[in-house]
Amino acid sequence: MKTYDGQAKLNLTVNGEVRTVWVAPADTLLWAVRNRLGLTGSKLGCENGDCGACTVHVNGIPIKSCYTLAVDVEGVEITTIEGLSGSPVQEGFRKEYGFQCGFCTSGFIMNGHALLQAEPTADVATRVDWLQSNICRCTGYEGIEKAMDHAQVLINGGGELEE
Amino acid sequence: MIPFELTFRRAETVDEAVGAWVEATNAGQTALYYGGGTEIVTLARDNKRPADVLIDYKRIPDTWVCGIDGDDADTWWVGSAVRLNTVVDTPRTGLIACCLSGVADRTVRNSITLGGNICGMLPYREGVLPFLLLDGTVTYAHPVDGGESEVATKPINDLFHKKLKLPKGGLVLSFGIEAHLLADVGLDQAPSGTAVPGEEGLDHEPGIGLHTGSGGYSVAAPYGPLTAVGSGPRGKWFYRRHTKEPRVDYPLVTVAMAVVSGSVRVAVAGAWGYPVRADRVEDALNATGMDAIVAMDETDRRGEIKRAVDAQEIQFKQDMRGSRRYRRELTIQAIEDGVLALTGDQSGGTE
Repeated sequence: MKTYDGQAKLNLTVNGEVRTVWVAPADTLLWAVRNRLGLTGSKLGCENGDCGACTVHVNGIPIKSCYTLAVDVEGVEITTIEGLSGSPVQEGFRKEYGFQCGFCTSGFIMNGHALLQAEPTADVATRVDWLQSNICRCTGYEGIEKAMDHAQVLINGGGELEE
Repeated sequence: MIPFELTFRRAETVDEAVGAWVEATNAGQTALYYGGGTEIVTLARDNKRPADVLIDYKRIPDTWVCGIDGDDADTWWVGSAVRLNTVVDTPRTGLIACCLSGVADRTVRNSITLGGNICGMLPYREGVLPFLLLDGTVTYAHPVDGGESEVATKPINDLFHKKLKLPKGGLVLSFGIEAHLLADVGLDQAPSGTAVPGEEGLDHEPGIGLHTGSGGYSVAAPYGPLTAVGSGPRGKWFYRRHTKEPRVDYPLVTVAMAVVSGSVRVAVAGAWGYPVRADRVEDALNATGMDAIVAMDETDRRGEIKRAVDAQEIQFKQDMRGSRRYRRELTIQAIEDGVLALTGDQSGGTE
């Protein structure tokens, strides 16, 4: 039985790279990626699993990293927003102004990307089901909807959209 | 940040997990079994759930099962480490998927385990409703003298009173339902969001109610109550979940009902603060008879349902989300709608 006590040395696979970090068993994955790996795109919002600003992927599945212990994800593939650079969903958010202050944006992109990987032709109801896991305090949901529309067109072979 | 130090132990077997609990307890430490971490970590952060040792049980194979186990074709199992979305996205899990899809939001359900939902501190525990309703079983391990562990399987209705009451150090491995019930009652049918007979305005707008997705089905109703029904050759089921405003919230009332072998069964979460297999409600409804209740005029029918609900003799929960009176009215309405949906041909059936 593996036991983590005191400061533990972990090999985390983050955005395709194996990174070695020292964490305490009580440290969250969010704390580890931000403070040990310098990947600050994942945000510390409510710290209660409600707002979704800390969303990352674990083996392609979105989870909220603020309540996930770092020691619990050793040996799995972790993707942060830094690993989705240039993705269709990011492009959708950029083109359609799917953000205002931007604090929630990385969480929405992580969740939206996971959704469109699983269901590229997801209907509006499915998008609502997935993205209501995230909260935009600026209430910029219309732009986020348009961003997801844009991303779906890109993913489903619609090519470049008009400006 | 969690404001205290702890030890994290990853068990690979039942004996390791239970042994780690005994070891920690003998050392005067507080040990918790750790699944998804959603509740333990968030409460620990506020120092409301202190622990010295977390014992991760997710790698124990006995806790992974989801479906019919080859050794026991009579039972449909769900392991305690199975994530809620694994069941929600499994086709043909009907009422069970509905009850789990109401918990938290979709991303959080990627982390919450069934064991965590049922054994956690939050009182709603909606994941237990189908198992209470269908006389399910719980299989658990617990320490016995000499530091060994023993595995037992018992009816969940014998162990669940407000919460699952296991021996000290007990670790839930899985929950089971008699497999034939899945087909008999249509639990294995995709549910359909539906209007309740005689009521207008409950139809879900296109794309709002329950719908079939690629992996099964998901619930996407930002506002308003969720209603679903399904039917099989020997029974039907009904599901209703009310929240205060947005769907992603703790329930005011969640009602699961089924007709099995001609008798109605009722399980409720939220209304009384904790999940209840509402046996006295069932007795009252079955004594009068579902068909007789449906045949009554509206006033008499409502009175009959009120008497049945009050027969349970549990005080309704009151909090910032809803008053006792409001929760009682929602419960009466849901059970009346359930009686109507489960009787006759107007249930909406399955798609």
